[in-house]
Amino acid sequence: MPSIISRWGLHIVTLICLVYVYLIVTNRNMPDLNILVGANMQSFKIMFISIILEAFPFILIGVIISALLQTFVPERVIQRFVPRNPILGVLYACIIGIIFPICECGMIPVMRRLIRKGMPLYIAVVFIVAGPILNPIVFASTFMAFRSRPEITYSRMGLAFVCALIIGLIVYAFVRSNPLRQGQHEHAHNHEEHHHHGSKWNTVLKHSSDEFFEMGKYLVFGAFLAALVQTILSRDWLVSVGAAGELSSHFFMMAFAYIISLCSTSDAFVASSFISTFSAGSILSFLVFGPMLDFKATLMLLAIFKTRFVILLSLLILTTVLTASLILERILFL
Amino acid sequence: MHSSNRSQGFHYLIRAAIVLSFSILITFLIKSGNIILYIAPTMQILVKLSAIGFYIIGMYQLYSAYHYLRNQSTADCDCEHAPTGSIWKHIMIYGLFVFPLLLGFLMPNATMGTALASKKGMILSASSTSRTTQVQPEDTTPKEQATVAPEVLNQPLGDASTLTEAQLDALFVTDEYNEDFARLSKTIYQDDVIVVKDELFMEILTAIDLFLESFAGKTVEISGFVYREPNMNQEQFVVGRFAMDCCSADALPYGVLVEDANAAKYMNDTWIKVRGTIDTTIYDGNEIMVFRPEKIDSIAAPESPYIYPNYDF
Repeated sequence: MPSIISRWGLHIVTLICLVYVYLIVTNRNMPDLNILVGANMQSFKIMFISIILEAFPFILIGVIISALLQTFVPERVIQRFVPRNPILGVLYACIIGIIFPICECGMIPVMRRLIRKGMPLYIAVVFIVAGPILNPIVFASTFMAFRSRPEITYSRMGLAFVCALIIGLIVYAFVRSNPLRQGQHEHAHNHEEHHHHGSKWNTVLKHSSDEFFEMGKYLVFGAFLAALVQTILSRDWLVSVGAAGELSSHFFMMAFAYIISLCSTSDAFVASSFISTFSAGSILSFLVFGPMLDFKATLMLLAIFKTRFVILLSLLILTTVLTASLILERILFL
Repeated sequence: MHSSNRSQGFHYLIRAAIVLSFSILITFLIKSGNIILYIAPTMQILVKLSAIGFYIIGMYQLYSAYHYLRNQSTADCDCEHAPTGSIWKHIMIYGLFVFPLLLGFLMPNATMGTALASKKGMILSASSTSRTTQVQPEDTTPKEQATVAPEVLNQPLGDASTLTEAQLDALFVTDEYNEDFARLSKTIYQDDVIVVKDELFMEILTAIDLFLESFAGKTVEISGFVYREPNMNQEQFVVGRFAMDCCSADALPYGVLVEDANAAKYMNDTWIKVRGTIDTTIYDGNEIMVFRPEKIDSIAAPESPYIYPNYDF
């Protein structure tokens, strides 16, 4: 964690300065920063604790599945289930999301385990981007939130599928090296068959608790930043910065999704409150981009992948979602 | 090996303390009922399960700590090792987990109020979140007049509870997008006083907002906290509630503008019950609904301050 802070600290400070320069040049109001005032501190506390309490069950499910896979499922089983053909592989990964409905906090530890067990990287990437959207729970919650506009739900599912397909194939075609971070736990799977004092369940508990702390610190840090930003920046202010043009409203909605780091099951509810202010296309950008990439997911991705790969993947998700939703907007909503 | 064992033991001890504290925090929140300030009832079962998960993991960590601190030989397992890195790194990492625990245990619980409402943006026109952009109000007006027989419209409406089916259909013209809300509107229109119940808070406000012209003049009763926007005048405030889908991070404030000569009496964040008539006004360049109160009572903040979207009304 300190290495991440020292590595990114300068960049983050630079970014904040650039945002301020932009605001000064364009004569916008400054966000008010009196975070320490009582009411704001309360708001921060409520947001912070609610984000982590909501994410904990999913991260626990994730680390337990990961530990079960580690302990009970041999590598050859996983390799046997993966199709050789990349297109089939990507389709397979999209469909698995339907029967495996957990959000990205739970998905990331499971994917690391599966990659180490020999699953191809591109399939794991498709899982991470498609899984949080292409599942029945998210379909139902989106359908309810946009009950008067069912086409938004279908577009969300279709767009997520197409984007995951494109992202998966690009990763398949261009990423050759192994982007997994060689962490301190890397060697652990070399002595898989080797169990100390007691049963396999002991190993499951050990792996889940170690991995909980490994992933949890990124989750808590991400939740901290997300709560802080939401306490400082008001939505009206964000809208005044972002809602100018067609392209900028897409960017704004994606940035907003990134910042608030909601679970994919509840983001449709928030998105529906934007429907009178924003175009359907930019709302789709929000609904597809947010579950694929947000604050807490980025930090968790940085925990398992090398920084270069995380940047590459982020840019890939950004351009694919933006392009696809702009095209879809032209076809469907104009 | 000796000191490494000890340090491994301490790590397990600290981790046990952290996860058990999370388990206790969740149990505390559930026992006191304060969990509703953070998590919606439908999601609470998952949070309860995570408390059990934390408890099991915590117990396992305690057992491991005991195991290492008793300094047993670990020759049977060479994959054990103390987490690497400097002591400051560990303090930072554990501090990260301890921080929300301190906030949770030491800071008094409070509900979301005006401070967050102003950040999240009070939604004063509930139907704007479900109204279609394709169907403009201008389009519906001529259709409404065309489909309704003039004699139905010309009949005096009289007592709302004795309205015929046809008269209701005329007031609440259904299209494929608002079917549910039209049905709800027909039901609540027949009440003498439309009570904006907690279970149907957003839905009733949306229905009223969708058919604002038909509802004009009806009496409503609503309770919520007082909220003001900077550009509101002396006689205006908002009665609002936070609507939550899963957790506070996705909560959004929904409210109704109230215009009253004595508005200034009511402080922000105090809870009131307003009984008034429905009218329209221009606010911020948009025509929105406004309640003109006959009676305003101060009330205690309810046990369950938030409302939840009701998807099968």
